[in-house]
Amino acid sequence: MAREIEDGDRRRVAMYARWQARDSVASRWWPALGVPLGLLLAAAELAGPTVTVPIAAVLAVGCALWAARARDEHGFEPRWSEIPRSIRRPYEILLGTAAAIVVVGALVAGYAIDDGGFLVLGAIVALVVTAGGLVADRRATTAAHRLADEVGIEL
Amino acid sequence: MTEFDRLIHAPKRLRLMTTLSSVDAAEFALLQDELELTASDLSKQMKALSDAGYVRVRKTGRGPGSSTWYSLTKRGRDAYLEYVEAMRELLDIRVPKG
Repeated sequence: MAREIEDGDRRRVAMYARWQARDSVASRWWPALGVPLGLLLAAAELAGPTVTVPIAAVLAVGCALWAARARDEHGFEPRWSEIPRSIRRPYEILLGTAAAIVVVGALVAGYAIDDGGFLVLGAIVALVVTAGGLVADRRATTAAHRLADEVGIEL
Repeated sequence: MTEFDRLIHAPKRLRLMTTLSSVDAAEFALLQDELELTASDLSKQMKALSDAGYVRVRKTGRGPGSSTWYSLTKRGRDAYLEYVEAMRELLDIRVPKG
């Protein structure tokens, strides 16, 4: 029985390594996320809720569609805490960095709202999410290949 | 003497529970491929787990594009973790350290 559990852990690593390597968090999605996020912040200053709300809605629908596509393509819904640490880590760093920038930036931009503070913040967020996403993706994919070698599967 | 959940203890169901514990939900075809089970065998094992309230079944779509998704219920996840803990305790006793 212990062998079944051990095999299960090996299977888990293999599933997530394949999931990562087969583009589930594909590079092309990062600009698609980063740019609307940046626009969202810019719109908060430039156009108010009438523009901000639709952008937020489009972003939410886009994320939901992406999640559904990834789920159907891979045959499973990932569980964040079960993703091998080396694959998860680059995305955690990215999320942490982006969240910190949004929180600190929003506070600073709030004071500088008449001077285009949210425009600058939007541009920074778009850049961080897009560029950071690409870097995180590459690092996680390298980790996935390493894990695949360790458990002896081909990706 | 450690008591094991007999429903989980069977090798095929243990493999299913182990796989389901590592995801939020998994589709029928993926489980079949991963665990190399026949469709009828997988259905049978899943029915046993579902009847016990360990697994939730969700069907999506209709016709050829339809699919069946499985996920562990809170009760199932707790039972699985308890099982693993019992197994770990047993191994700690049996396997000499060092």
